[in-house]
Amino acid sequence: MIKELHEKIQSGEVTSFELTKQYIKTIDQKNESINAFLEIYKEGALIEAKRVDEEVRSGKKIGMLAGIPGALKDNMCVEGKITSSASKMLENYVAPYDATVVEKLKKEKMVLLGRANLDEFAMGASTENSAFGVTKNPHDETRVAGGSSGGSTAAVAADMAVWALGSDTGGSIRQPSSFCGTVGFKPTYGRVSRYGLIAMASSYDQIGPITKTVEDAAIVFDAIVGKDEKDNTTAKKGEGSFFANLKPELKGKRIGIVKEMFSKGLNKEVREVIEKRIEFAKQQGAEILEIELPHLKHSMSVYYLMVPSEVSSNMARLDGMRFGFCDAIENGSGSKTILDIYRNSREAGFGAEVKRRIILGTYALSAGYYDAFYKKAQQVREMIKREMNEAFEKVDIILTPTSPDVAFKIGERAEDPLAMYLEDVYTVSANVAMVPAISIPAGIVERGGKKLPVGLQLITKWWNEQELLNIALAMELK
Amino acid sequence: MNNEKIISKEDVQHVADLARLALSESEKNQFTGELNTILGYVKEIEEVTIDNYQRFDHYNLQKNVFREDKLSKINEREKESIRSLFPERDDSSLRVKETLNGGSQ
Repeated sequence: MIKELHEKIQSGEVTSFELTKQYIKTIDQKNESINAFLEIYKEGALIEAKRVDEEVRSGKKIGMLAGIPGALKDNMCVEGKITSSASKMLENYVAPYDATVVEKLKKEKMVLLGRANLDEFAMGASTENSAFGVTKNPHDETRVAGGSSGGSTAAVAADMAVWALGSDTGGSIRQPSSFCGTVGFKPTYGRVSRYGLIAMASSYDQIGPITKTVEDAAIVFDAIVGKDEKDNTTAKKGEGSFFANLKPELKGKRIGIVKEMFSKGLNKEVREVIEKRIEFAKQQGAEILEIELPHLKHSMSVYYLMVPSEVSSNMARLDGMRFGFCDAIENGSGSKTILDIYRNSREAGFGAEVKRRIILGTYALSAGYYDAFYKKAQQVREMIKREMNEAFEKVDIILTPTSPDVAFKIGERAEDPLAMYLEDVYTVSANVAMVPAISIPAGIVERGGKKLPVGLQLITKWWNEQELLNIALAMELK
Repeated sequence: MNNEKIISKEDVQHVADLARLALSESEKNQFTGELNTILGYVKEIEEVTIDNYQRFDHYNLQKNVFREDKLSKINEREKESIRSLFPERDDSSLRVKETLNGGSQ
């Protein structure tokens, strides 16, 4: 889609200004009910679009993303703009600098339409944890868009943005992509700089593209990938264009299936959709192999011990001082001492899920529990990484459902945090093992007369994004 | 699913104090229940046997990278954009409550 739009803008057939106006019009029509955007940069977007059009008129050759309107999840800093992380804590926080991904996209002359909704500080699987209202699923507005990057996926699915960025700590790009019918791509940990991404769990977070097609994901990925001096966990790797090297590959590929992922807990209709795609891969000449990953079942425990631990540490900076919500200012003289300011600002500024994770994490890190919980989780994480690495000697790709079911009803799981955590059951292992994974649309399931998308997940070994994208391209629904 | 109590209401209060987080009575009750459910689930990790454990890195994360200890320039506009985020300020300084004596109470 981006390639075609790019060619039209470059040839003058369409202007970026017209294209941007069209997207803003759709946002005006749909955003009030869907709530994908927390803020829309109408004027700024049109100015950016005009600049690209001027370059085209002056005969300049423009980049692939130039003039293509997109959206950012509202946890990536854009200089001079509010970056709220969908939290009351940062409701009025104006970022003093650009995140590295934003700097890179500005160089590509993107048109930025606005900031997209998310679960507060990216903690959640439905955007119901946003302090500014839930994002509804464009396919059925009584259902959630998924999360935490639900605003980004809903915007792309509802034609309110051509592309968007999300962040993925345990499935936050892939699960909402599955629910909204978009392509959601989480690269290897260390591929994309996290500088300027408001941290949730630093050893799990990774930024990635959300698009309509695999090709578009490769184009956006090209724009954001690379080593960054400001993020020491980024690695220098061969960085040719993933888009230029994109070609469908399936024949002779070894696809691994983990049996446990297709048994209990997986909805029957979703399973049928995924099995059809496995059959398709077979017909195209892929080899399907059953593999065993005995420690994979511990991924959820590793994740829900380590992530809250890292959360409790990352959230410590938000204490009512320096920046963010301050109880002493907002609530008058309620807080008399500095400790009061810390405690009351955090009490009033954070939502329930953030508090829950801070307490869980502080507990797992506290004396007496550190060895049994945090350290043990770290060790099991290493075992899972090793096991995955061994599996990728036998197969090129592991194929799983992205989520056990289609999008659930708004409010259905709000009262049960553990049920919400289990939403990530198929996606967390890629973050635990730090490997790349992608969710692509696999088909639809009908519920109450509505057609709801089902996503399929492909996982591969470290730094193997090119092959992952190539196989995803071949597996894409035509 | 799990009736065994792992974390008590007092534990929750203690941990919240460590985390500098005030909680209401109803939050304390709610979180105690929920955290017991969550811990009841993740506690299965205790059963995993760690055999010939070794750290496994997909690339060498352990190599430290140092940069020169050099002040980088920051312009007035950037300084002001950071200062403007202070909740309470005195010109270019951040104003805070007293931290010694009564402040720690």
